[in-house]
Amino acid sequence: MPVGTVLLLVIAALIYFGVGQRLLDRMRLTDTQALIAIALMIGGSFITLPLRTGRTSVGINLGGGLVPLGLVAYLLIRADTARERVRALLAALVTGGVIYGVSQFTDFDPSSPYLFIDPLWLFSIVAGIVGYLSGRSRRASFIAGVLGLFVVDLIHFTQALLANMPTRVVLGGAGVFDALIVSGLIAVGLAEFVGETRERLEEGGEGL
Amino acid sequence: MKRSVRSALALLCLLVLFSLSPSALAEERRDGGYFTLRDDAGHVITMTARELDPGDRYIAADNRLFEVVQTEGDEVLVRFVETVQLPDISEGLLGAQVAKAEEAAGVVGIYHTHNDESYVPTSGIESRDDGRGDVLEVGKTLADALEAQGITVHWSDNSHIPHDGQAYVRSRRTAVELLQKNPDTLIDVHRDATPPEVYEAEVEGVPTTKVRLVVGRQNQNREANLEYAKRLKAVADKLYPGLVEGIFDAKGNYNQDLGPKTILLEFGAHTNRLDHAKQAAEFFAKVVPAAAGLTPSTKEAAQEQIGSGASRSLVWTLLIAGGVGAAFLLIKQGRIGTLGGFFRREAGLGERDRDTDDEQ
Repeated sequence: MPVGTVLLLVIAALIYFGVGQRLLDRMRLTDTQALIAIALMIGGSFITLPLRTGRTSVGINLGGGLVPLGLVAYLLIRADTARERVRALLAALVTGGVIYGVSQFTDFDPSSPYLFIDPLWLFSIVAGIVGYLSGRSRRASFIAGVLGLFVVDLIHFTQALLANMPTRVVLGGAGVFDALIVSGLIAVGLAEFVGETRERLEEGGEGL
Repeated sequence: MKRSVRSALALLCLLVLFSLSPSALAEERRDGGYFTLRDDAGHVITMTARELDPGDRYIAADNRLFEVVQTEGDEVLVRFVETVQLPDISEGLLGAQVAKAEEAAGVVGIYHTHNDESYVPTSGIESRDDGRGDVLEVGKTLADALEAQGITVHWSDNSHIPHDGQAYVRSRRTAVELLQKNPDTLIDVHRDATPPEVYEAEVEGVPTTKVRLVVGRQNQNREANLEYAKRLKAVADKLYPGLVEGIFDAKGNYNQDLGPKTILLEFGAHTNRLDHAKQAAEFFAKVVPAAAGLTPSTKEAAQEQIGSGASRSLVWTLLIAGGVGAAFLLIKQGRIGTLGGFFRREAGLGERDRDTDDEQ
């Protein structure tokens, strides 16, 4: 493999995993815990557990499904108040609903001129906005990002099951590169940007 | 409600409304409609069901590069940019490649994001609800023809139906599964939706469909994948002139962020015949090994060319990452003078600033 290609792969992976680790670190995780979470996501990407076989099958990937869902559970358990938990879960439901609605009503291709960005990135941004609105915290954004996509997957699976559709649903099947994780991380990153910007603006306002 | 929350809510509403506008609802070309690309003089460059956006680029069969200026209804105005110089493919090398096809070695992954796609003249329908679309046969033909040359092929007929906005999110899982087999190239096989004449061709006296290549430009591998696409076209132009209709360098990702040498191929349109699309797959199977560098005589040239694209991708990746990092620093600290300190802290080499706002 040529040097340019190797470097591109290595640098892209370093940026993705590095930023991912730092973003996880921004939630109630220590440096080491965030690193372990990333390592589990990478390692677990190679393991998919079948949950249901047959015409409409379902499975869950360890790295792309169970680990981020475990993180979500951890964040919900460690939430300060019941109100915070409810808001985060509501944000996830709203995110799932918006993403599902957008993907169904538009049938858009990644090249759609009516959207400024690929659906993969768009869904993450929606999750970030809804998550931030609900709790104005990184944790709520992460929960909305991960659970929102999870809800969409569950809707797809239910639809497929009811229609006896010959399809396979693998929750988090793309492992560490799955939309569940990409969405969760972008949502946290967005919350970080919005939060910091808001704080700067408020500081600026106070100084006037 | 605070102003910031109201602003964010308004942004979300706009985003959703924008996505659900009547024009957006009509965008899926399953109505028999298609877009016609015309230059300033009104000449038809090509037709496609693919949605196009200003800035999208198209390398036509004759290697003229066009850029989309605007779309009005079904008409897409494009402007001529330049004539692209495709990589020089030596006939000697190709001759050696064809003669020593049995020496080809490598791994290819093939899958179908839109596994419902079918060919109307053959099946009577353009899309099969059970997900067993004709396009699977095209992918299988490509796989079999590659295997006949000694290449290991992992072909997936995983279903990603329904054919909606989440299809690429679902097929991403198949793509990653295939990437775990360490393929040299990963191919997503589709068909287009245009009038039949756009893709009708006769190559070496045999009726076939043409093939269109699609590179997504919203990911870090775009440059490398574009070089790969140009190489595929260059080899095809030498081996089977007229086989490739063109290359779209268009908005979107198409899961091509997952690696260089990931490509989307469209074998004909729904109005073409399945056997013609399968013939195109037979031809294209001879193109892939030389373009991807899977034969001893083409390996070095392929690596050099695709590697140069990867290097450009790398520069862009670093520039964007640096830009985002600097922007974040400006927002967070109001200055970039502490860039060194920031990276030291982020790398764990110095004292970290404590984030307290995540506890809010």
